[in-house]
Amino acid sequence: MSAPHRVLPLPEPAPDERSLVLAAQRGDTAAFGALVRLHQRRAYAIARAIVTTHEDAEDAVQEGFLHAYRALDRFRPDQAFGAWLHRIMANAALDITRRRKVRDASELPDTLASNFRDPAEAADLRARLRNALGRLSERQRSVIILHDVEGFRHGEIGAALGIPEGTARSDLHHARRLLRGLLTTLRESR
Amino acid sequence: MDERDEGREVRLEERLDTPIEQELRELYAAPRDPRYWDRLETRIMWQVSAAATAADDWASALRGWSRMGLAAAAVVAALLGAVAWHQRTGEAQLAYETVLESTTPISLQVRGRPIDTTAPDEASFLYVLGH
Repeated sequence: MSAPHRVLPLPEPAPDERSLVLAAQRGDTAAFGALVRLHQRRAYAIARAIVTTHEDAEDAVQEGFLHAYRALDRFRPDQAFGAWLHRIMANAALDITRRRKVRDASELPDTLASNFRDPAEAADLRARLRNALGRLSERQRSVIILHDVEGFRHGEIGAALGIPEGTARSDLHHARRLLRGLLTTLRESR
Repeated sequence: MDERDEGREVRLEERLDTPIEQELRELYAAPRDPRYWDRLETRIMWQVSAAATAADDWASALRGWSRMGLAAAAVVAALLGAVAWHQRTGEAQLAYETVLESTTPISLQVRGRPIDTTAPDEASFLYVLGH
């Protein structure tokens, strides 16, 4: 006689985003936790494209989710939750950037200069790239990172940064051209 | 052509050099370790729970205050009502008393036209009145 089959419970179907949002709006923190799990990587990507360090991106993600939780009652479920959240993340990251600018205005050139002195080839490119990225505007840097590194579409970038899709597209074009130019100039000046 | 394809076409035309793109990816890459994301989620949810608890505390405090506020408002309304009623009753009483205790004579003034006693009509009239 064979051993009785062990009946494994079927995995519960993952609730869709809309029902998670509705549950979170009713005060279900576990549902909000599920939304955090779903969106935190993309939220990090947006924040990282705007701020200059990983630590700041992490802070922005935490602040962004907290803002989102507090503003949940103002979210209309017929909207796209992802786009709404990305906008909040971008704002949280921009807030951090503004705060850092005020605090670290005098420290930034030293940091870049120390990276610039790195002797290794890869590190040299990285230093030049950091320097060049530091010279782009906040929006140009964000657009180029979101598009070329994270693979966001122009529409998604526009929605996250609060700019029209066409502007995101032209910003990318100008940012790439500027970055190329800056990298050439930095190489020739060495 | 969808937007993604359009973007790819733009990228093929203008994309940055491969080493630059690679370097950008390394500079901006999200952490790959799943434990990192678990920890980040835990930190976020800790903050959210703290915010939820604080909001609940505020809500219950507000509920308590609103109950006390309603009771206080009811007492104030009752007091104001009593004062208004008392004032109105007093005024009415005073009005009655003023009328009842008034000693001022009521003066009547009759205006008449002067009688011409020599006129024949008036003479007849005076005669009738006099008898």
